[in-house]
Amino acid sequence: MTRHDETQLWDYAARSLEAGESKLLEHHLEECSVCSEKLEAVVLARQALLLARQSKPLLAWAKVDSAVDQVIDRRLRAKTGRRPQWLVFGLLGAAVAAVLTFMITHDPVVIAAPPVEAVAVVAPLTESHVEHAGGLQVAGAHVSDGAALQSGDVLRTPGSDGKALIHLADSSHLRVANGTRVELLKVSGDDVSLSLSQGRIAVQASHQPRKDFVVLSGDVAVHVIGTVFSVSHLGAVTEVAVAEGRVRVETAGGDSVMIDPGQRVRFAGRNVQRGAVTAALQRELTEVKGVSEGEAAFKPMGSRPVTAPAMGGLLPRLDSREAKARQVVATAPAFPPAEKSAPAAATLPATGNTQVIEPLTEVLVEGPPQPPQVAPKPAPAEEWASLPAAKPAPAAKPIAKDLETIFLQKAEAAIAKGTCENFLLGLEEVASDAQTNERTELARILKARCFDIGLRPRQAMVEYRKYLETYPAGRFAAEAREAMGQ
Amino acid sequence: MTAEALPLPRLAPLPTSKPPPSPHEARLVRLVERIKNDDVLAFDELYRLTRDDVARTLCHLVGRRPDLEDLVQETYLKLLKAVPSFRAESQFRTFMYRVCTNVALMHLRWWRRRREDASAELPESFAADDSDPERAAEATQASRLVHQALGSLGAKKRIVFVYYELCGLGPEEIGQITGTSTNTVRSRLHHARSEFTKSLRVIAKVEARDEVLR
Repeated sequence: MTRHDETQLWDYAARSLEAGESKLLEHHLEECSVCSEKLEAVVLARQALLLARQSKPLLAWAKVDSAVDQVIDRRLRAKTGRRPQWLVFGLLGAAVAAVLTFMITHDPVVIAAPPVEAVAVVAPLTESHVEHAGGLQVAGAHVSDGAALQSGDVLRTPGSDGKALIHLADSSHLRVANGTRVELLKVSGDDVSLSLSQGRIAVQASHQPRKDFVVLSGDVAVHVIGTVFSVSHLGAVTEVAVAEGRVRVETAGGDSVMIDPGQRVRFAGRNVQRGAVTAALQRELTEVKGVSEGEAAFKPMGSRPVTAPAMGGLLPRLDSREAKARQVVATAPAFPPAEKSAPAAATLPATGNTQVIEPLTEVLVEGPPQPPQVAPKPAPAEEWASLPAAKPAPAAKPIAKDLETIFLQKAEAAIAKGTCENFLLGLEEVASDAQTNERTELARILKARCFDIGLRPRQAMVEYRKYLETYPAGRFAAEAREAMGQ
Repeated sequence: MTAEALPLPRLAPLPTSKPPPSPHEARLVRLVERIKNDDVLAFDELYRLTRDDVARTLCHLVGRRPDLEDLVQETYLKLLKAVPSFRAESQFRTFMYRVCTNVALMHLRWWRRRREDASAELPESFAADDSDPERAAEATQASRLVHQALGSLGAKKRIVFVYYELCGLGPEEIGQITGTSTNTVRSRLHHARSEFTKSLRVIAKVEARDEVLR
């Protein structure tokens, strides 16, 4: 048999020869014993290959996973490691310029605190920082309130009587329970990734548009958009509880589990159990939410309303660096108006801290703080209540609306690029608002388009149908009808 | 035959019209876009989605070696570096297999320099996806035989044979992976099939004889 005929034997064994060719070959095989023998070998080889396709090598996946994770981690650090240098240089430059301007234009007596030290404390407030340390350790060393945090930091809280509150760069808040170990894999203004290896964290994720906010715990990844939830990890069990919004949990097997408000889901290997949020968890979630929204409006269970004198009483117990920083802000009225507003806007985070400082200013100006031993040690709940934010943020609602608009614009741009999957939850959140308006309408149609380009026609049809039901004469009704073939 | 790493130039687009990508392929391409935008976590997802395929392919290309885990790790390290050069002119799967091929070729060259016994296999090194234990045992046995027979092939023929017969790729796609023409692929496949069949027959006979003696 010639060389090409041997190839034909493989095709014949695979039944991919045409009918005419097959008949010719069968005729030849009846006469040629050599080729018949070869065909037997080919059939044997094909059977073995078909079986071999089904098998997979047994690997020590834990070792490989860990090694690849390290590769990713190194890459992550390499990328994030460069940024802070620019940030530090920029902040140092701004600090030096501010100090020089201040010294040239003002009487040195007015300077209430060393400016360089003040900048060193205030500047990190725009980045991730510790709001309440509560025995928190970073890389094995104790940190105090106001300490700056960055990607790669590993946070630990003591086994008993330790809980910390962290402000993240994207304006989210993180409450770390006692006996917890959590790593800040990535904390930037538009991307947050945390890895919880032990204990419990409660998160109030901001509504700021971003690439992703993910908490990795055990085998699961919790993806969130604007929500209040907690994640706890003990042994091989991960538990996720949601107070507000929704989260999507990706399991090790690649499945997605949606968790709605009031639900608590436990992941143990492939076993998934649902339950209700317990009272204790609810209290903790309410606490972290209350801290982020403004303590004036927040009255945790068993605590009394916070007044200016009460905060003044707590003031001496504050970290000395933070006290100095606040003192500098308190002297801000001495600045000329044009110079006063710029540093404040540059250094304070967008969580309403401008109002936070005002009551403290009065305390500092009107009388000296009481000695530390006079101040009674408050209960833990009061400590949380004593954190900044004396006035409710008046512009919270309009800002949220603007953010929604920005979010929708970003979603539209992502759809144009074909990378809108991360926006789906947020779009649903906006679209399902009880009060329909232009934004909810746009969110619904964007969600449908996103499914459309993601080759998920069934979900796209559902969204188009929902759109037509809610907005039968809407701006995009023609598009929706056309998509549904009406 | 020399086993040299193939360079990673831009993959030329196929001359034929491209079929629409499968949902899996589309998902991988979306992840690649996220990786290009410095979303390193997307790489983690990509790893979870493709690691079984990569491990299986590497195992077929180099055989079951004790350092297969290191090869998988090296593949992903190279993939992370190479992803920015992926321009979606070919399937991501093709791109990924090309990286696997380079890693496998480098490893085979290094292995030959050390003059170690390439046929040294690890016991219990395969597992079948099948839930039927009898069929799973058959698949494991077949894998062992196939890998022994693959050991008789030269590196270039083995690559073509593995991608065609075990990964189910077409000659054009294999040509893209190996940087050769379709005719070269067909020629190598023909020789590889012939050698593989002969080798498998011999191995099967030896196994049968040993079985009788036991």
